[in-house]
Amino acid sequence: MAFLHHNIMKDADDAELIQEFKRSGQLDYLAALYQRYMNLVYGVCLRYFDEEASKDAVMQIFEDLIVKLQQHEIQNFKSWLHVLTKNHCLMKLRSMKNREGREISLEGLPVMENDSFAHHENGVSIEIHLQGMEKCLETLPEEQKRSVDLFYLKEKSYREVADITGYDMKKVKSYIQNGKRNLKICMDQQDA
Amino acid sequence: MNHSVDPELIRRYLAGELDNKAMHALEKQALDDPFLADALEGFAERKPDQRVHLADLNRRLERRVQGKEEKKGGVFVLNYRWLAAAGVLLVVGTGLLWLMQIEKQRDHSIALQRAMVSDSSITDTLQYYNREEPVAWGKATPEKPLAVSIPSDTALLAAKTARAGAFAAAMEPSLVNANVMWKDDSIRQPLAIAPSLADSIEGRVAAAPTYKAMEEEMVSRSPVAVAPAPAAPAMTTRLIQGKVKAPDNEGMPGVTVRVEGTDKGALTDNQGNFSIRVADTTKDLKLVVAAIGFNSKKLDVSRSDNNLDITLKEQANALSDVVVSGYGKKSGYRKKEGYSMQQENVYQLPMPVNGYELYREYLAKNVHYPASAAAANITGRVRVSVRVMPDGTLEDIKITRRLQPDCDAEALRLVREGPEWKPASDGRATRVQIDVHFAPK
Repeated sequence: MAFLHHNIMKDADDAELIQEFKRSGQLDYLAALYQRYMNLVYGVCLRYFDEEASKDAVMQIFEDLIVKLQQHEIQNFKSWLHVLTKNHCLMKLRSMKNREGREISLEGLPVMENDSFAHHENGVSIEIHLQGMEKCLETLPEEQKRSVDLFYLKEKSYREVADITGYDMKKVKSYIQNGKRNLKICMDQQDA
Repeated sequence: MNHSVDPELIRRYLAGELDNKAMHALEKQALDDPFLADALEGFAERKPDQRVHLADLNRRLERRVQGKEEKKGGVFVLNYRWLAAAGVLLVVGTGLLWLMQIEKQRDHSIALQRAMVSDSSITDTLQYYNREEPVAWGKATPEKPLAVSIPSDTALLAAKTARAGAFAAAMEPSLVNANVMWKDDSIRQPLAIAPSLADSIEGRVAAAPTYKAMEEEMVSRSPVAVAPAPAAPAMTTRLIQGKVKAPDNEGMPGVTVRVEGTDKGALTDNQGNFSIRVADTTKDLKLVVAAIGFNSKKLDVSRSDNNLDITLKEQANALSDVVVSGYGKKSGYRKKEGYSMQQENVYQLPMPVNGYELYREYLAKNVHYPASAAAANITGRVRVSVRVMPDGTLEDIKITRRLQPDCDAEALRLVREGPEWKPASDGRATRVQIDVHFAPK
């Protein structure tokens, strides 16, 4: 894509591109920025719409961006875009839906989850603390403990964890998510 | 410095092409990045290879940046084929006008009116043509490209329909005939008749909204050969237009309007307008209008009825089977018996006055995670059952699923102090259940 050939656009970080866009009003900058996450936006849309409608949504969100970026100060573009995407899909779901369409999934929706913002800022990485955390690990339920151990310490993929433990893939995923959350709670309490 | 995720990586991950190490890396990233996790889930529900669509998106974005797509009032460069197409339209139009003058059947003012309400979606046709070569029009090729400014929007379906119509037109023998006349250059005449002509053929030939613009251009450049076509049989399509509205009279965007028994259809634009072209001969024409959350509607469209005002009723059971929960992530969208109910059913369960979404937000924002629960490391949900009275007040608030005393009390408080409810549509006291989630913030 021609407008991406500028090195500036490739190398600039999100904030710089936003700034350039605001300053110049040129869509090139915004597009270069949007392109970084367009696949994610599209993926999120796929949770609610079929491919064609998702693509339309992706383009509409871009239109939204043009307006909204000029109005708001955005600190963390990616997180913000995530929320914007979900909201857009939701709004659209409310007013439209193809008849034989998929069930509306209200799951994981409109609430800005408590942890979704936090993640980017302090999801820095959990394993920094892992050493000091073995005690906490012991407090976890067995499945969570095994899954977390294999995933974070032995660096196994979900599939491998499932193979090793015999747990179902989906379960593994939730064990790890919950295990991680519980560990964090435990850790925070230790710190406190 | 950016946190984008290579689409190719996602594709390979989902296709199972990555090795364990790479899989682990992506999975770990997703755990720290809800956006990625969300997107992965979306992709996982589809076939893993979305490259075609992503490439398409890139193209669309690029076009958008260059001002060619999906921008209101964008400028769009017409290539010479367009001029050819415009020429053909003129020729056909002249023929039709001639026909009409002879027959003196058609009320001119109606045609005019139609031209004015004509839907912008049709202009999208032009963009499509621009990418694909028109079939039959290649030969009459004036040299100069024209710039035409068009309004446009994204009612793609409508555009496709219109396109189909236009292609059909290209195949029409009379048109080919007209085309020959054009090349023949036998009769030259100034375009003074054109404005009325443009209006009068609108409704019959696709791409009409831009017609006037093109025509003005042409007039300003050079006299154009126009041949009154022989008494060609009139093209037999009609344009049905209309607006779909919600009960509050707001236009509804993105509503599907389909011609029953065919795959023809359109999506409404931002204002709820749509247009569909159908064969004039279609008998017993029925339109099916459908939008989620609304009762779909089937309408008989009589032959003279080309302007429709459609109001949809909100559907009773659209959201009735949602268990409200305060914590989005794992909250339930639960099926009760409601979901399988017939569409015709207009019974409406009680719902929060401002809708479920805001209600959920309220719960999430206001829930206090009790210290006692935190200490005991308790997470989970409390289910509160409440009777919504005919006047919208809440009675008999009780807990049907307990978690821990302080959490239970908190859940009761949230519901009691929460937003108001709309009663069930049948005016009877009805029970609803609300899940309140407790997890450390």
